[in-house]
Amino acid sequence: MSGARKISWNKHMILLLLLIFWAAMIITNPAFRNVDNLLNILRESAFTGITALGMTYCIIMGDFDLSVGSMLALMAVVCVRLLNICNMWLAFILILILGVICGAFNGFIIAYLKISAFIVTLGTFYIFRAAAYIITDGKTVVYSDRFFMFLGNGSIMKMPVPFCVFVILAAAASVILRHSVYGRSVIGMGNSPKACEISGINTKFTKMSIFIILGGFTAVSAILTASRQASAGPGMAGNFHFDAITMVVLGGTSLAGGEGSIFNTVIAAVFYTSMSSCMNLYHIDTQWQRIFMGLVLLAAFSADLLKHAGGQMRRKRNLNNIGEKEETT
Amino acid sequence: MKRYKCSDTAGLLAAVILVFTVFSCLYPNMLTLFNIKNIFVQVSTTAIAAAGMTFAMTAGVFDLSIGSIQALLSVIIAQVGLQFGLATGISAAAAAAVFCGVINGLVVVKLKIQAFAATLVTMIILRGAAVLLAHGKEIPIYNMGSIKFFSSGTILEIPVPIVMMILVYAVSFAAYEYTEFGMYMRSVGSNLKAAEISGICTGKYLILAFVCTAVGTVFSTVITTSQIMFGKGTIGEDFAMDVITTVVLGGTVLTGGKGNLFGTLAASLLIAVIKNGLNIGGMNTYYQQLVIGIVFIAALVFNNGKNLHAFRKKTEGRE
Repeated sequence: MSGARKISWNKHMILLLLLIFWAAMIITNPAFRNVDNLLNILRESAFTGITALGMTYCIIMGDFDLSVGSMLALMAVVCVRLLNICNMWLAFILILILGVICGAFNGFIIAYLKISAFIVTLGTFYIFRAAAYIITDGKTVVYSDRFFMFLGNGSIMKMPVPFCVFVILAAAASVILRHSVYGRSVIGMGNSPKACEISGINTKFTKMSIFIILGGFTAVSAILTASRQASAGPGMAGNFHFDAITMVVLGGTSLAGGEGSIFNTVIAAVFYTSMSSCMNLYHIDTQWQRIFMGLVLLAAFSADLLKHAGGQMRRKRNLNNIGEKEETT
Repeated sequence: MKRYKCSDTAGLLAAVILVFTVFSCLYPNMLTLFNIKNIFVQVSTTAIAAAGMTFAMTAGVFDLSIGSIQALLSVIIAQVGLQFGLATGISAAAAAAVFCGVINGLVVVKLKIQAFAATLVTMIILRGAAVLLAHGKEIPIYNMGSIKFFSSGTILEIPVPIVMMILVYAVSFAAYEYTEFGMYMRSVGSNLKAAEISGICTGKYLILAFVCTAVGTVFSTVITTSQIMFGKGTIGEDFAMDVITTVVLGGTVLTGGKGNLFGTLAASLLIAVIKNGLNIGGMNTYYQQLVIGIVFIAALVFNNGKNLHAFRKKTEGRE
């Protein structure tokens, strides 16, 4: 286990990056130093971050979901619509159910009909978006109840509510991933679906359940985002899937599947939001921001590749030395 | 070498005729020479780009960034065309397209990133570049009258977009079925490793696959730009989806190795007929998007079922 220390350094790369970045910004920019600004970054990181948690599960299993942005728009408009006619809690429950249904739709086609996740979710990307437009007739819908707005804009003891929700969900997701049979089987699926199937895991159901969970997380994101804006439009969250995937990949989750960490996704979410917040502070044009974020994602993809190549080499060496495969943790 | 089988496309053509007949019964306006010509002109932009995409998907990759490439090219045609004339504008666009294709290919081949992840990145970057190049505005090209030829001109009474479409398909079909290039493309798609072992420079063909898509996009962008008479950084948001839908619907297998160019053409006709029918029926564009999305998923499921069936048959025969 000579490589153990090196691996753990790799694992916390994103935390290191975040600390360096924050230190540099805090020293150089007085506007960034402001506590309100820092809290605001935490708040903004939650909206996409919550979906990124579900996406982490998805990518660990070696799949993707491109439809989350459209799903979010659909659920946000339905949520605001429902709030105007029924009780708030009932509306939230219905939205969660809708999220589960949307996720199950994706998951069923992917798992049981065995079609690649990427292409299915590309299709539903357009279906959900079109549904959002049809429901609202292309208009933005508004709801501004005080308690509803508190969810997205309020704070509990200085801590922004969305971030609290984010942390609680992340803790739950992390514990499930690391310490439950279900979580281990998800990681196993990413490593080798065949081995999982042979060892008696219901692979199809596990695969579908991941998309259901992702749907649920997206529903929470949708409620919080709608509450943040006190409104929802069918065209919202156009680059959402891109942001969510970037966060997960920045967090070091391997595109090839089989490894990843919820904690790192949380850190990556904060890092990603800090970067865009900084670019806003320096008045960088939105288009340049997009280009820059594209390059960051490209770098993250390549870093994943490098790490993977390193891991393979190490594994090979271990195989030669000990004759058995190193257990991934 | 396996020759082309017409039966693969027959089902789709039957579907086109069926849908067209149904719509014609519902809305008599559908069955006029003007409207039929109109459908073919509408088809041309997607169909031409889809021909290029068929090559890419045969090689086992695909390109999400073509919508952004389209936007970038339309801006280039407008910017360069206004200063140096139309021919230079189109040449510059073609050069830019090849460049984009090579970049896409290099990212996939050299950085070993999955095609869809790589093109997701270039999609964002190229879109940003297109909007920046146009300074966030539309660039009108009303005083560049010669470009109108590509949308409303005719050759022997046939509209130019249709002529271009026929030419592109003729050349692609010849290249696909009867040249080494097409054969290597298919072998790269069906088994990358085997192709590499047998001495094919797989990286080169993967890059060429992206170049094919980008070059297809040049033709369709020229038509689109001359239709809207604008260079615009925000066009083509749904272009990639439309094109990929068309190719998949046409029977090209997602995992690569087996493509069907005539299927692609028939599929683009089918989608255009559906859209046209819904349009004449006065249906909202949102519903059109929904219908196309559902057709797409249905086609995936159907194609998948067919392939599974074929696979089972094959394995049973072996036993």
